[in-house]
Amino acid sequence: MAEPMSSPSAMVRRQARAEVVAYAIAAATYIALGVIFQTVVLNWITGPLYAVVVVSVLTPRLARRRGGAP
Amino acid sequence: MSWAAHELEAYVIQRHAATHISFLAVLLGSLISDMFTKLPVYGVEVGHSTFLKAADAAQYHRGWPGAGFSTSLFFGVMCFALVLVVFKHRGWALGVMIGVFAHTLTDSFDSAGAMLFFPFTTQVYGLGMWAYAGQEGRHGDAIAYYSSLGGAWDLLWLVLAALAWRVFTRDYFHEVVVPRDPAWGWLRRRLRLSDVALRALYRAYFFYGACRIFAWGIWAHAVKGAPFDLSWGGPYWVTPGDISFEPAGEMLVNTGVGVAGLTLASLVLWRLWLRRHWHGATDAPAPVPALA
Repeated sequence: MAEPMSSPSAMVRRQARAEVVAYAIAAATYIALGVIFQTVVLNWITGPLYAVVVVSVLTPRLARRRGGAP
Repeated sequence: MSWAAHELEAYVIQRHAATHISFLAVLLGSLISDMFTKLPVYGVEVGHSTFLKAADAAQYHRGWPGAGFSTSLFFGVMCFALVLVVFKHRGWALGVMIGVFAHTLTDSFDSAGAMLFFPFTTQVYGLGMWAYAGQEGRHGDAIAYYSSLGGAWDLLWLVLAALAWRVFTRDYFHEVVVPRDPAWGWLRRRLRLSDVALRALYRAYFFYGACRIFAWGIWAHAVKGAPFDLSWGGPYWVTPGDISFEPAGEMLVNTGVGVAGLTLASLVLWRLWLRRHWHGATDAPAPVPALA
């Protein structure tokens, strides 16, 4: 029998998927920005900060769009 | 010098660490050597002028006189001592020392090498796998590094980190990484980070290391059209920055002096000072509080 869409484990899975998509978007945009701007973007402060900000902002939004918990 | 390897090695160490060490401390240790010494290697570029650039980047970065002490094993021991005495946390003290060791050993693969046993000897150890090109400025260094075996070295660390994929899972982070290190609880409280943000912070330097390999690689080859030179000591168009290497006999003597000095100094420090701090230190993990 199929698991209900709103079950806790299904929501966790959707959230996990949303997190993976957020990382993929962050990586693709960061690499593109890095190629264009090089040192302004590709440094040990901006790079990790970019990951934290983009993933933190995108993940809840993507999870909500996919019907997962915020 | 190594580029992304310094970020990625912290995750590989985390996967294979046999004892309780702090991931953040390993990461800090692997970054600290370059954190305060890199600026004069490249200088500050304003328009067509460069300021604060060392006359001899390799000598400044890896030699003595210079900042070469920061890529030595004894620097790791001193970081261990400082962290143990100030923060009284074994996992942090060990982590920082292991991180510095990893950075030092990784840097000894290029043409400039590292003074592994400084201050007991200024003997430089370098395999010369790729040419040190800090003297070319950041962009020139990037082109040289990602056209040579340096780029392959970064890719190797990326593969090793990918093989350690379990360390990136949410369960591993919450069940292994966080309980070992009270700093995560402190970060969460101070910055009011969600679980997603806390995990992103943990994975951030893998993200940065992996992405910059591709960004610099694409820029160097697709935009600048640099050719690859995967020969030992390449790329051919860079005059490798190096520090004078001694003849084999002298190197052997220096190594003996260095190993003996490092061992003796570490033992004396341990017996007279650090042992009681170690026994008074804690590893007790602080629970991560749930957000209200």
